[in-house]
Amino acid sequence: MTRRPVLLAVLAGVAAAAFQALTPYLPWGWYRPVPMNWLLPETAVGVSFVAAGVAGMVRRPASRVGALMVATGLAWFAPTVGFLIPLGIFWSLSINFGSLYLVLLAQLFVSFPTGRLRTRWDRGVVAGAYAWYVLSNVAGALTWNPVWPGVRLWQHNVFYAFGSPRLNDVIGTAGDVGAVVFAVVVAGTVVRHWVRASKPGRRALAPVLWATAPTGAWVILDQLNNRVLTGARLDHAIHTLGYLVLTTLPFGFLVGLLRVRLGRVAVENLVVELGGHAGPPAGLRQALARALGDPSLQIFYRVPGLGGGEFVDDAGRPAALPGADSARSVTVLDRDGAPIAALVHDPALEGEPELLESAAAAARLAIDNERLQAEVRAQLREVRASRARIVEAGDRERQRVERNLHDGAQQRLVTLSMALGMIRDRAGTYAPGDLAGDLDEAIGELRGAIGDLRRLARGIHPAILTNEGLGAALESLAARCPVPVAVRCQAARCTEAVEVTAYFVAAEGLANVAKHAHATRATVTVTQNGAGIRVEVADNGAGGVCTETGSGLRGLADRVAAIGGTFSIQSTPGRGTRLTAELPGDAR
Amino acid sequence: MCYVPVSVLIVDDHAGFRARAREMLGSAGYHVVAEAADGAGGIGAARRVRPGVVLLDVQLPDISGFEVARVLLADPCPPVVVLVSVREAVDYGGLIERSGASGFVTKSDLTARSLSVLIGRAS
Repeated sequence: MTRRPVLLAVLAGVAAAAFQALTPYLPWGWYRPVPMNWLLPETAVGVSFVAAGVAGMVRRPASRVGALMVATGLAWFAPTVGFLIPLGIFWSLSINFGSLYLVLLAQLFVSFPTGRLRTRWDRGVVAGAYAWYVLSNVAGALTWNPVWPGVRLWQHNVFYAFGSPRLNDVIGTAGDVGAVVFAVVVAGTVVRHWVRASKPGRRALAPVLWATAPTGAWVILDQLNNRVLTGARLDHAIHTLGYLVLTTLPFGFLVGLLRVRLGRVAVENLVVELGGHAGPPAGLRQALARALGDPSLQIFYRVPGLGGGEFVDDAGRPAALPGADSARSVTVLDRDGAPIAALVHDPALEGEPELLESAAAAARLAIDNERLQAEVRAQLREVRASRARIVEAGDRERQRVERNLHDGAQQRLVTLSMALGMIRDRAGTYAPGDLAGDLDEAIGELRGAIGDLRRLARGIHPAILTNEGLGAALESLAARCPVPVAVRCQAARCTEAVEVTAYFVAAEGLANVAKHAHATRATVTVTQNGAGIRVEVADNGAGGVCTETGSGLRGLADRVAAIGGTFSIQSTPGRGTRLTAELPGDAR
Repeated sequence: MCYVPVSVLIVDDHAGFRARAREMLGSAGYHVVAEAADGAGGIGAARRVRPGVVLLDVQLPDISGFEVARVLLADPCPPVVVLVSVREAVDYGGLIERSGASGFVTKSDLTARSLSVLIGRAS
């Protein structure tokens, strides 16, 4: 953090405090004699907020709590400054909107210790408090024009439009009820944070949790004062309580903020522990969790190029990192600018980035080691899954061949044999024309059987590929496709495994184009890609295809992976489909 | 030689086979009274026309020929059931025995004579 915001905070705080302290001595001030029992505590509250805030900004620059405390202190001073400037607008802003510090206080409680609003609930509570503050005070500003005789600097409320004592009463009561409700909700939120926090979070929250009760009690009493409760002594007691609470509160926040520090000792222990680290991955997680004081810590490793998410857990299972809305924080660890792992931890640790940083640095080698192991495990899982799928696909394929033979060629040959048998039985009795007709029918069955066998054989292995090469085989595929296909094949010959895979990428791609794409044209492009080749099948059809939708494409991806290639699908609905396979040239 | 023509129901999903079989059986003196393309249709037709013989394909699109045979043979006055298939008997293990059918012919061996031998054995 640069020094500038800190410097600005100090200057603003000193200026506001000085102004406040000097108020009664200004020639146009209204206090005669100077009421020290008001001036001292009133100044102390603002000063303690600004001072604790500046300390927080310096010691915990990653947390916004320091800045929020400074803002609260300045908001506390603001109305006094406003009253002293002899212009109606400042007077009116001060009498109507002087309670901004209370809303900032609510935000402080809810966002502690990071200063950030992490969950939807937290954001809702604070947004609600701001909305209520604006709404009730605007309503008040439009309908209230207090006349305070004897105050020398008294001004008209410039916002005043209309009003009646009854309306003032209703709006005032509503504002007070809202303040009480928000005090209860904010206290409840702090308790909820405490309940859900892990160890480092609770360490930080403890002083704030204890401060919740007196602060909430004071806010509620202050609203009830002069309404339900009456009496000068009570009034005095409530004011004293308020000053006490508000003066000490910032130091509670500061102590909480500083307690997040767990010390260098923990990281040193971590280094020693990791020196002997050779055990299961859980050992690294436990060591880091101990060093950071967060038993709930999780480590995910980045393994790019796997289907789905980028991160896996230590067993190699794909894992999703918690989103921005989660009650958990994520710290991504880099090496040479590229992320290698992510720590998922309690948000309180965000206030201590140096600790996270040094712990991560100490554990980097072990983490990298674990990441490589996790990567191997993830690859192993993927290979196992794809091996099972390849076996299944082989079984399905054999089933399909058997079915095709049975339903196609075999049935035709049976019919042919029956037809020939009948011709033999009738041989002597045929009229001249009938024999030719029966033989034509038999020949038709035979041709059908030959066609069926040819198609089947081609599906099992395209002979033209072996004899004439990939280009010719792709052209024969294109010629049989009902959609016009432009073939461009500019690649040297590769091993047979590669060419067969390229052929089946094109065959499956074109089969999908013909069956599902509603395309009017397609292209098959094979280009040299370093030592390997790149096969692309593109169409101008409906799009919206993915490997999950068809076992054919899934099988194709496995087939490409089996020879060490990569397979991808780009298919936006309405914008066609493009299958791309990059194959190594020398796979066997 | 003088006999009442035996009525036959053909159950097979291949129209080409049904046509050939009808022609062949007709010329050998059998009377093909109905055809069906699947198991459910076969059961319905058998109950409607009460054929003497059912020529029943094993591999049907809905239920297997064995299942159809079991249903037909459970009737009080069952027809003679002859199973046919492109495959050979040995491909079906003991299923043909257990089905209660009177016989099995591989389609390529099906002639009027092989059929009448099986029917004669049944009656």
